[in-house]
Amino acid sequence: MGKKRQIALPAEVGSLLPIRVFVEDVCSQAKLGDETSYDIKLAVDEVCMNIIEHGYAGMDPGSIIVSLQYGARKLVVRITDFGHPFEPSEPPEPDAEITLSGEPGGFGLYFIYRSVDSVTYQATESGNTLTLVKNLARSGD
Amino acid sequence: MEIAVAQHDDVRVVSGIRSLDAATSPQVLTVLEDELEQGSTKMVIDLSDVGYLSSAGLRVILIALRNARSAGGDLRLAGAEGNIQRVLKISGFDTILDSFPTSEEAVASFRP
Repeated sequence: MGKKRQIALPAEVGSLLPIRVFVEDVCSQAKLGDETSYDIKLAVDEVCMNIIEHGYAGMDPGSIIVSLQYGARKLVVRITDFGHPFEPSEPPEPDAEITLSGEPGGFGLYFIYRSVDSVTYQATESGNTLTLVKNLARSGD
Repeated sequence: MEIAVAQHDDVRVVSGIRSLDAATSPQVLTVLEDELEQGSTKMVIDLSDVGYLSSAGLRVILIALRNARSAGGDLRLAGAEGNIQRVLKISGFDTILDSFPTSEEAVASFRP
């Protein structure tokens, strides 16, 4: 399936911008529309932020490997880290009341699930990999 | 990133933010909290230069909104377009705070 590109950077906040620039570049190479590109950038950014905040919590930050592969019908993103395994699950839609007066959270996860068509997770001894698949509807967007 | 704060009567307009994400949100939050500490409770964040907004940016808006309202003021948004407007809508932020096409309109909305 199509072209594949990969980047590996330290799991730190300073890596988020270069990762975003990389994702944007691949999306532009794949000729994706503005909304689709934004969705993918947002999903990858939120996953990487979770890895930085939680995946490597309490340990020396390792690396984040982001690979993108695309063909005519779909784009597949794999994000690998070597920290604590954390299997995400789809959060409920944000509730305005809770956002205003309760303990809000889960926006990042919500964006991840809303931005792509499938989210799968695999933790092995050689790392944790989250796979995001975005179906490409070339006509719309 | 250079953030500007303009004064329009008792309303402060924060602009120049190009990205509101995990890397930039501490800076933006500091600017907003400084203004509040100096007694400005009516705030506008001009999002017209913002090209990227993530959940970390939403958290900053939310913290500033809660702080402004608990101090008797409010925080309003201006200039959100395209993907930025979409993120605000998806997250339900369009229902919890007021958003205006331009910062001038946001400032005017504070007038009695």
